[in-house]
Amino acid sequence: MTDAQLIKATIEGDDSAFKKLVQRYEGMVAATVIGMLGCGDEAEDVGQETFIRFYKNLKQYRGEASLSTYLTRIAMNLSFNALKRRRLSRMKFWSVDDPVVQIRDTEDHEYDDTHDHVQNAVHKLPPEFRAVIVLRFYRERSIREISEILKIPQGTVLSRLARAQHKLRAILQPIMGDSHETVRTRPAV
Amino acid sequence: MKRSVRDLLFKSFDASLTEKEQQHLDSELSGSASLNEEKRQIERMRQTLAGMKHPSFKPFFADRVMNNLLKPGDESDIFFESLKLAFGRMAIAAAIIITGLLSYDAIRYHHPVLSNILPSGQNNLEQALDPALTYLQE
Repeated sequence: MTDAQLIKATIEGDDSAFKKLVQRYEGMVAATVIGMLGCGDEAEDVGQETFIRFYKNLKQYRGEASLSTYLTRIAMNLSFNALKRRRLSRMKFWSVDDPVVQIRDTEDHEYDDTHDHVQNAVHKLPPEFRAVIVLRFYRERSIREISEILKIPQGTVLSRLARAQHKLRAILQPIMGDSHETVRTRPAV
Repeated sequence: MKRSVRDLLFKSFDASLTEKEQQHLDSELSGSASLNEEKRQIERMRQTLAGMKHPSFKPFFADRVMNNLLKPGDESDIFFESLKLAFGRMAIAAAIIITGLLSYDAIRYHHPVLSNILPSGQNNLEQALDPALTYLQE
């Protein structure tokens, strides 16, 4: 069934159709919110809230933007809000730790080390820079799509991408400097 | 390295450059070993970023979303919702009436004062208890 058919069925009261939509897009929403907030309960809550918001405003969705873009926009806005809340709570309680990355216990330790370093570096970026990195590299969105999602001009997307990569390179320089000749990409599962 | 050249280098990865920009970048690249090294490092970093694992939520995420969506509302939520429904309109109506009366007052006296339109009464506790205090003192 297409997205439009599933949306129509949901509006007509078929909740199982909505569940199919959630299953179809949960990976995409996960990449966005976990990319922005790191693994953990906060990301899960924001992910759930994304679909709940979508469900409540289902009748307002007119299909002008693709469902993927629409959901990503909701997920991104909710992630920005969560980051604001996190910053405020850190100001109130300075001991609150930033729940950044869960280190996964897999056999490929070398890959994991690089992965965790890069993930931590991404999380050190300011939210507006982090957003373009997440959308461009984790979600493989085009510059035009990123511009639509974040509602900023394409030139701004490009300049933010450049500045974000420049900052990332500075953070990762000790790890990925000249001595690091081979870069491990995702291991085959 | 000039910032404009660096920006051009980053741009070349994500957008097509104009012929002039491309020529400029090529000439800079051919004349600078450090710029070539910078380009190699950026390529390496982008490769790593693109090869990152795609994270996912814990299993049964869709079930949890549906449970949250379909669970009956909290009783306290229902109570506050009904309060909002009952008094929300009343509050809006009162605000409209007060605004209307203030406007009327302003037009009539050219000097809007809230006390002119609200019933004037005793202002504080002492004034409110004044008769009783007087009686006690007697």
